[in-house]
Amino acid sequence: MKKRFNRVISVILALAMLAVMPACSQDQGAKTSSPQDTASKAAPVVQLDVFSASTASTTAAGIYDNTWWGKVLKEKVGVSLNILPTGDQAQEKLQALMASGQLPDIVVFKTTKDVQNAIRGNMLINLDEHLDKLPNVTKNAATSLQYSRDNFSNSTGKAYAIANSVGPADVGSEPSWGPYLRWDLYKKIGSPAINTFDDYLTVLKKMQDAQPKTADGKKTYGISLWKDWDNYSMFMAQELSPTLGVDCGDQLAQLPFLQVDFKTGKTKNILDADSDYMNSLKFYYKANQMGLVDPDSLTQTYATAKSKITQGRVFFSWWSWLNDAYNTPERTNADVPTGFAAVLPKDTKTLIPGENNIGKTLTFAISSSTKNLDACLKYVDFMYSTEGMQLMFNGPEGITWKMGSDGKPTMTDAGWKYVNDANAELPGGGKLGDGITMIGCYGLSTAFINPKTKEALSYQLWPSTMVHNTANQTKLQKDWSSTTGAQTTIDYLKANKMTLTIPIAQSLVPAMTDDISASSARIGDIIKSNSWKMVFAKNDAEFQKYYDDMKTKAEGLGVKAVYDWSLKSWNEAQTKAKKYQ
Amino acid sequence: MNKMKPGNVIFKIINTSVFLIFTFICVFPFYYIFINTISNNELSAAGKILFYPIGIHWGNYIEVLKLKGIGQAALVSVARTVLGTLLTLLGSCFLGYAFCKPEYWKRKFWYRFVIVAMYFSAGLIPWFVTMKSIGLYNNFLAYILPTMVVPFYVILFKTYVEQIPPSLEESVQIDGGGYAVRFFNIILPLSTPILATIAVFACAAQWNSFLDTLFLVRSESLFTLQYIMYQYLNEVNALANLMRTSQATNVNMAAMNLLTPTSVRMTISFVVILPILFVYPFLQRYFVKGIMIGAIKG
Repeated sequence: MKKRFNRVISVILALAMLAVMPACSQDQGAKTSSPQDTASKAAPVVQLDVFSASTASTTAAGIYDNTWWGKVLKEKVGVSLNILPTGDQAQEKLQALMASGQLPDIVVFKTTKDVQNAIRGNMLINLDEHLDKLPNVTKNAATSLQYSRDNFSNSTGKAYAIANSVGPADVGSEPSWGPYLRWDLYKKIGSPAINTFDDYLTVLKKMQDAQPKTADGKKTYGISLWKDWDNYSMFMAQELSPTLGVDCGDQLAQLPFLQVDFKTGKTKNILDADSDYMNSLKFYYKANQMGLVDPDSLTQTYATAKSKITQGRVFFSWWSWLNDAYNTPERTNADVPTGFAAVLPKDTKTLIPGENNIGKTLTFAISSSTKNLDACLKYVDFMYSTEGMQLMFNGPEGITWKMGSDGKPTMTDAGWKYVNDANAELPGGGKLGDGITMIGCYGLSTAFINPKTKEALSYQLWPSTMVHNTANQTKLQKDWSSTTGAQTTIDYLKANKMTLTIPIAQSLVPAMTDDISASSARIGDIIKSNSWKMVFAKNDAEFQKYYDDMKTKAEGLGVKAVYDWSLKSWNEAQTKAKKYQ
Repeated sequence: MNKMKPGNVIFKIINTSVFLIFTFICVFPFYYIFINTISNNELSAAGKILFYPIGIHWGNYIEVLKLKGIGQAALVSVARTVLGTLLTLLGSCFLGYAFCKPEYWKRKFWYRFVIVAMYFSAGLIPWFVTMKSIGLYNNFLAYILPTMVVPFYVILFKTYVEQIPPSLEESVQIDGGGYAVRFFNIILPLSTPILATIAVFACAAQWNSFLDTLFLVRSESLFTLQYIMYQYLNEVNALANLMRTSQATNVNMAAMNLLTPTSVRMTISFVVILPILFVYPFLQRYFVKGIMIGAIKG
């Protein structure tokens, strides 16, 4: 018995050894092989550790050398990035790294408060001392650098971090907010005019009556909501007002419970009975009374709701990217094209991004403990170069896009294939979106004009793309265009003066203090739960009861203080904005 | 065969059906994931696979085995589970045994000291700083050393050893056996049930842990299977966060909306939970009762 036990143990240990050995040898292999690889080339490839707090990169970790973007970085910058795991604990991990006194080589911060703390701890490189090595930053992001010196330098007046996505407004062919309806059904019921938001309800009701069940017998709904994106309030109730030019405090900058009307500049508490947030709740409440709202809304997650849209069980969509769940080529090019298309109310004033010379909220910075300062500077500079960004947005030159004889870029046929099938693997390895999602942060905006081509950096905004899109319109788009007389939703909105630019002040709102953020979360819980109760209330009296309850409890928890903070921050941001316009 | 009373029959029927339902509730989630991983991907994304697989194919498994770094991660996971469990058994059990000895210097104090650590932890940042300063950052040992002494296992083992008759140990002590001899030759062989229990706990904890990877590891070669699964399952949250934190632009969203298909995510989950499912049946033979019956006379 004992012998057998010993044997078992020794076998297990031997297996474990085997398991660990390759771990070591592979690691060493990687270390030794990279100098060999580069011995043939001129400059050695330096490995940089990168920490990114951007939510767009939470799933990235490790080395991406065998992707096309990894190869671009190796070739053009001479770096190989090792992305530290962050998952959904990026902020916690950043705090831990800062407490240990050492940051990885490159850091992407999410809030300027973190930048200031890092400066205080002497953990960042003063970029002003190295401007000679950052020619592209000084050329393309000078205002942003000044903004950095003025606003998050811990009063040193030196630039330690640079904000992301600097440049003109990246407005593509679709706005960020719809609403979009199932166009085929909308036409089937006679395309009634939508004057106000409430008209959607009657329209959706008629659409539901026209198609109460899908082909395979599943019940259809006008609207399907989900709860898991709620932040300080019911997320879905925040998503209607941007169409009317109003932000309810949770969608653009984080200004809890403050409603800003960009048409008039007026502000309001979202808890006021006539706020746009409350109007949205009333809208969903009425929809539910009419039997339009999916009863699973209270419990389902985004993934479930999205699969219902894919199955054609839902007729209302808030955003153009959500439409893609249903608008497959087979559907949009069918003999009777089906799919989502924009159906907008008469008083639409959709918010679209504005020019942003100071950049957005993420920032690039270099750790003072880096041993490869030159490589770090080179990488950061590459993030602000038109050459680098052009590659990041469009893929490897010569494969996905090429420069025409007239010096204008066009997407190749292969390029369009990768755009349409975003999961496809490129010749160099990896997906087309890898450049963007690895760090989740880029220096110049997609609409930044490349002085060489005189065109925007991203293929989405090239004139050649517009030509391609017009030639390749789906039957659904053609149908929509023939009705509205516009090529794209954005064209239609602009022609009818239905857009409103998000002011620069939105980017200048300071980060919440710990106190404000804690009490916002507490009050948010009350607002969220009561909002959902209001939407699913049985009658007007119950709706009112939950509203009163929400208001009393929120006031008891000090919503006034949070609201005052938001208002003060918004006013300060507006004052600051004047300097950078 | 004896005829059963009607009351007994009813009891048997109810008893059997309750346990069948219970078994079904336990097994169904695994079965559900499994049939979804082998069914037609489109049908499973549409939520149409409920009770039996349709359009069986093994493409998802091939896809998962091709994922970046999955082989290495599997090796690391196996290594940390095997080595980590052995070290935990050794460390926690020996300490548990030592705490049984009244001659242990300031025994009560040390025992309480260990127990306190079960209820209070210093928090994330001090833990991280400590680990980093003692060189357990980006080091395989970070997976297996910190779990060597787990207070809960120490208590379990101590209580078990205390009910072993002291005369068994004394018999060796008379022959001049020291603590180590007594521990390895007498105590451990008599404690297989509790060793197996602790091994099951420790194995599952090692296998399922991913936070240490998230915080303490920087090189890809130390990623674990569990962490890779976490990355994929986290994709959905990442998208939600992106929406919530207003970083959403059309460019970002287009790139991010590329969720890994549900069926592939389910396959990853299945591949990751499968090995640990086999640990319990394997260890079951050590859960023996009455191992000490007749060991001492009178």
